[in-house]
Amino acid sequence: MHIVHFAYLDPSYGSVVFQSVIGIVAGVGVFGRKVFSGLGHKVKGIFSRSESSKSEE
Amino acid sequence: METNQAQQHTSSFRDPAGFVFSYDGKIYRQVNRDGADDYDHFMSSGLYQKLVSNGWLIPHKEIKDTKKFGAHKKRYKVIQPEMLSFISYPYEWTFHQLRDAALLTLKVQKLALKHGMILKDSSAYNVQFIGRKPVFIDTLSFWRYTQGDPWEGYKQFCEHFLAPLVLCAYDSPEILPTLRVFLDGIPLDLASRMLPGKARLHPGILSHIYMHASSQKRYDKLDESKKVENKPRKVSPMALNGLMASLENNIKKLKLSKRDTQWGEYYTFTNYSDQSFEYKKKLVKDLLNQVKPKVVWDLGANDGTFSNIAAELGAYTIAFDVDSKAVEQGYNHKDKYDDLVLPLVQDLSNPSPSLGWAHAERHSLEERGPADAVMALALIHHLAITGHSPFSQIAGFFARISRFLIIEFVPKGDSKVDLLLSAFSRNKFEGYTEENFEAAFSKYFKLVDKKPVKGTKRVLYLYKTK
Repeated sequence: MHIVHFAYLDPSYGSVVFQSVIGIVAGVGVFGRKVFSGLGHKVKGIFSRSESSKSEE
Repeated sequence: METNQAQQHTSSFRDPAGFVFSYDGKIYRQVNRDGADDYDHFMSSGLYQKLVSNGWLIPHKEIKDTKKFGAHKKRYKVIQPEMLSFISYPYEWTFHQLRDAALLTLKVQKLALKHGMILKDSSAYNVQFIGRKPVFIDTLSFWRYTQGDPWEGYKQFCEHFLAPLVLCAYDSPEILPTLRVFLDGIPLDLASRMLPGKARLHPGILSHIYMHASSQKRYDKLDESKKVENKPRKVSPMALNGLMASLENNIKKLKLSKRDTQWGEYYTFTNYSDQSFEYKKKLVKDLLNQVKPKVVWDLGANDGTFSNIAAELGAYTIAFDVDSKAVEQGYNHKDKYDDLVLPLVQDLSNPSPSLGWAHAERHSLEERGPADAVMALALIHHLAITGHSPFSQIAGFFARISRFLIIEFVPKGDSKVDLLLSAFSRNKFEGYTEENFEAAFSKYFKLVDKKPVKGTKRVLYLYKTK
């Protein structure tokens, strides 16, 4: 669907170009942090499971 | 507006989606046909409900009968937002107020994206404070988002919020009143020249300020045909979310450097006993009780100790002070009066003027009054001695901004006054007497009550504007 916007703000072409670039860099950073934090939780989970199974034994 | 009575607000004329107007003492917002689709999606997508339930957006009701406003060919709907007791401007805010307003804007933006909308602008003027709580007020700032759309308000966000905040953090919050001059934010090119070289070492500042400014410069030089050739520029949702996250992280990390100011610890260095101070608080409460004001302006409020007394009586109180550290202290001190006390920076020797297009976009302090009651406690000597303002001028100004005035006269012999006088070896301020004070104020005010502050030489007056 094509949406017609009635803009009143000049977004500055340089700003639009720049956000498309810096946004990707920042987005990759955010994505990377999420992946690492997910991995961290998984690793932590493995250890806490093994500790609980040890206690069960 | 094509009506006799409805008055379009002098700051609301840019957005084709609608405008704010007043009618019969109340504030309304017209949604134009150009903004109908976006407004309907805003309401039906659940975004409005979510924003209001989070306390992030000013609630409104739709007005069914719009005939009373007169005909308007562009009208789609009229809404009535909840009325605010006082409109403040970014050049009256402290660092933390501007920071909270910036973070609120980003939170609103993130929520909007989840509902298929995006902020079409990022003006700091879209945020107001209800007491110490920031709230978004521009209901028509949202439009439909299509994947790939850039955030058109990115530049404005950096200029209205990020650049002044970064300048505060690297230099001083004294930069904020310059927003009076830079009503549309601090240009990034200027900010990058004002910042110290070490700011470049910060990746967030390097990118959002320095590189952003360079990109603007580079593309501004391109002729229009090349810009058109380069269009359309897409920004992926991942990039957009990354941009938001980066701005949020960087703003959250910004901190003010520690510094001392003259008035930041004023109440820890008062020249009267705890007993006298408690007595003065009781007197102020008694005088306020005689007036029962709904809105109080506490001038020279410092950290808002006396503003809290007005708030305790249910008055919406603006705690003005010239010192940003004292105001910051008042803002950061969260308590049960968070909804009732709004601390703001205001230099009474140079109060906020009318600014913007046709001198009418941003109102002067005086135009935002009169307040039901103005408190001027331990202030007169600063205005009359340090500021060299004659009593007659002070009385005239106070009469224009108040219906009732609670004012403290601090005479010669009081150590605070003597300290100020000691700075002037030739001028003895012979006219600075209680008699002259009373004579000047009696021209503009009727005396209602007069009470000496026990244990001091000071006197409290309750005046009613003539």
